[in-house]
Amino acid sequence: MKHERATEEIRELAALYALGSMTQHEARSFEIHMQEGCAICEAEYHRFAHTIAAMGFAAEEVAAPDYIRDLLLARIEREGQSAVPATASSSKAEGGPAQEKYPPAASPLLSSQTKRGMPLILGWICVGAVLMMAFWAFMSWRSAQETKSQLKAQQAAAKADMEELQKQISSQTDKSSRLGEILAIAHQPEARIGRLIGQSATPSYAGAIFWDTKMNQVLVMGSFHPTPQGKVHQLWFFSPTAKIPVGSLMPDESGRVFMTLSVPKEAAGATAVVVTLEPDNGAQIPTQPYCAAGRID
Amino acid sequence: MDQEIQADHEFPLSNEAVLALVRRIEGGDSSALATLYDKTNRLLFGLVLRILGERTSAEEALLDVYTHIWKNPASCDPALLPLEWLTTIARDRAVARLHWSKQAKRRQSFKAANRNSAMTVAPDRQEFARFSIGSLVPAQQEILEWAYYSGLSCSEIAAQIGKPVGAIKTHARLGLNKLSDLFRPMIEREVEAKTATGGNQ
Repeated sequence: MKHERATEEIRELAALYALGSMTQHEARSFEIHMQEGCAICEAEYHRFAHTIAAMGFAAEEVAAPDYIRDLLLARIEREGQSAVPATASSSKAEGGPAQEKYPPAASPLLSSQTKRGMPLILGWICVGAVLMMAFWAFMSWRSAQETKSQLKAQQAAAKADMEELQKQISSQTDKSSRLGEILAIAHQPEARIGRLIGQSATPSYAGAIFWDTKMNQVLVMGSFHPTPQGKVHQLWFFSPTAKIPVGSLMPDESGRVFMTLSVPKEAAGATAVVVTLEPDNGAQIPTQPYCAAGRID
Repeated sequence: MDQEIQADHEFPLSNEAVLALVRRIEGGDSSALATLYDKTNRLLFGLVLRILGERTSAEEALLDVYTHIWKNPASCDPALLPLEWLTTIARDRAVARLHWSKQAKRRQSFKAANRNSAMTVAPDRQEFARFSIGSLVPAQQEILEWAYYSGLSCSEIAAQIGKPVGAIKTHARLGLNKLSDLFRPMIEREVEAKTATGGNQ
């Protein structure tokens, strides 16, 4: 979609893109949009690109150490110019402007050659070369060490990101699967649903049941307290004439429950659901006070 | 050295001169790169030092900048003025290095110590840039400096300084809008001059 005029939203996008303050995804989207030919966005981007570049003039000038210039010239001499190698080498071969205007670092020594003789000059050249090589070796070693540690850090960060993503995917898959189970029961015409409400002793308890009366199964989900040692949370269905134990609930470490239990046939007419805390071998009569209870609709 | 600085100050490097040097570099002329380095290293070193906050990394970044120019002179963005292209490369290379070394929090450490009145490149531009940024409201100035000198995304800046992402974006937009309005006459003048001298090819 091409824009017809610059809005504040467009200006914000262009400004953040020019600043480099978008996430990679946002920046890529904006690039694609400009590539599709939105002249408005492109004009806004160029306007801000000038501004960002102009901000670079606000930093105070600082003279770089003299040896950086020597290193630079040595580097381009060594690495060449990949885009136009032939021209570069021909310029040097012909004693081009590089050598005329910016003589090599050894040239002051060459000027003293006539005064002191060749052996002395050669000695100085050797010393200079050794010093340069030692400096280069040190710089290369330091650069390699830095690169190595950066790569290690990146690798560790990538690994951590991947583990986090795997956790998220696993969590999302789990949630999706649970939601599927709930929906499968909720779509049954014979489904009955009850809400579990925390009672006075445990007001933070909350949950729900999804009862598939055709399959005689109930899906229980809720947030309870972790089960104390030697105890068990037990689910009950109450009918007008009986209190039927359905099964034990097993909350995880955080007290969350999501599980399916078989419902005894005698619970068919149940109108209420209750959760109690019982001894770990269960009980046939629910112990009061109840932890959570609710009506089954 | 002082005489050289003075001489440069009297004859500031123009966009046209930079473009001419870049064209020579494109032709493989290493003396042109040396000249460009001599004329602009103070400006670009000051910038990368401000971003990186320590000399060793800044020196390596400066080498990266000029090596990049040497190897990619054709990347000189025609949409930018040549001097702007230099500051853009310098900022990009320094910010990339900053992110690699995760030194974003150190970025301001050099600010207070970096006081040097000598200006060898476009002194009018430098003074105007400082004046313009200084004229922003403090919140806009803070956000723009964070964004420019750290290269962090809005959400990362928000996490660093404890402000909502929406506020970061708004301050950045308003600040840049104002800077753009302030810079526009000067940039338009320079673009016209570049066009008039055929420097836009």
